[in-house]
Amino acid sequence: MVIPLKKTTKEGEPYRRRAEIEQVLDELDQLAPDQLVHSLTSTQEAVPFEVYIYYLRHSEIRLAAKHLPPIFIAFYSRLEAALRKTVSDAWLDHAVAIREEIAERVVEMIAKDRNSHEDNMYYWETNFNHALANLRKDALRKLGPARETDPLINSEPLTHESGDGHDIRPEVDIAACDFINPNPSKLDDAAFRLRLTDAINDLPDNERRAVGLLLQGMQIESQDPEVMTIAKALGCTDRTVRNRLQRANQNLRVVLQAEDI
Amino acid sequence: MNTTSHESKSDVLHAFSTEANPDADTLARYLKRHPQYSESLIDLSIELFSAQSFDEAPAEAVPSDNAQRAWSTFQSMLRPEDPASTAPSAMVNPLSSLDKQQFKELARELNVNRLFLSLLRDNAIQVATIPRQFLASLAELLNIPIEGLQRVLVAPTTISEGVRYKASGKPGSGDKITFEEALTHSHLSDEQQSVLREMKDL
Repeated sequence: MVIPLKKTTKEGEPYRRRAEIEQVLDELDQLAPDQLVHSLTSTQEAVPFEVYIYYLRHSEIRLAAKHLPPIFIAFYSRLEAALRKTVSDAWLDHAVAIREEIAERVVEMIAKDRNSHEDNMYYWETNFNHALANLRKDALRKLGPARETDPLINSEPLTHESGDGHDIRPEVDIAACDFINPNPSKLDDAAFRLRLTDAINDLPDNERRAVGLLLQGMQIESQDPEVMTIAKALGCTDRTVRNRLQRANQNLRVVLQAEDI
Repeated sequence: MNTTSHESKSDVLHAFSTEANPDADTLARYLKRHPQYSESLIDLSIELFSAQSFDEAPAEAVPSDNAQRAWSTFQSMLRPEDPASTAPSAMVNPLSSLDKQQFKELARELNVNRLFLSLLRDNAIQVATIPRQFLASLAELLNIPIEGLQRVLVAPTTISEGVRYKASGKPGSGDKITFEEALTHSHLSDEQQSVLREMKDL
């Protein structure tokens, strides 16, 4: 049986993992240990990271000593590859040190959780991407260059860099067109798009929220009182929303031009 | 719409984070139901929207030395009763407990010289660069599992001063040379070198 998360809601119900993760865990739970290791170390299809965290941090699963190393090594190799993409040598002087710091902290947390049974890492089984993104942010604040010298790197990219470069949300492209009109070909550059979305996340709160909601597809205003709008969500008028968006556009243009990208 | 205010902020945020499709419609639903947490929900939605997906197909099958080292670190942090924890003796390189005659004999059986074998004994070679076929023969001759051998060889180098300057890189603690460098620095015959090179993983 798959071990439920031990953290509970106010009513005492255990927090749930995302349905897709529960489903993968249920399927893997049926396998014999050797088959399980085979599935988790297969290079054919990527098992979600949340699943590795589940198998590594719960000593109650009672995998034999010989089964854990291949699972750990497969997980760590994937983690390293993911970090190489998001803490890139091309952007940062100390990229190697920052990647090592992040990876070390993940390993340490897993070991601690395994020893304590306290379920401190429950969120890593729920939403690994978000948990790792937060850890990355912490590490960049601690080890990255000072914010004033490089305002872009201390925040989170809005999109992910996919292998073929096509997996970027269209809304980002539309928003980006506002800033890069003189040189639209730059949109084909995945690194540029990451920089752009990093810059969006680095905006002041009210501008970031307005842009963030717009990018998620929320309307600025609506005649229909039932429809949620950016103005309603932020508790301001649609005119204020437009002003914030305009200021955000100007800020982004300045940052991106200063970066010369 | 009235709020179901008994749900705590962390419960609401957790529920939002587990939504299969946390898009603008989902967010709108949550904002209507929990207006008191609207700012946190909006921030979380932007964070989730912007967090990269790390779940890509594994790019490389060959684990790095880092992964091996991280595994050793991980094991050392576990409680002794955990089956995955390292027994202290597991880190002792079985090559270093061989006497002179056994060492010589092992080198002969592997068709290498003692200098080359001593690089392995001193953990001076990057494990990821050693052909699996060679590791398998060595593990078999030492009568230990290949994973155990890998774990031992990944420990920090204990390379002696005399050998260290032969490495191409600048000496320093933790410097390891590649299998290829070990071949060329060990005064192996051309024939021995070519046999070992043929073992290289594709």
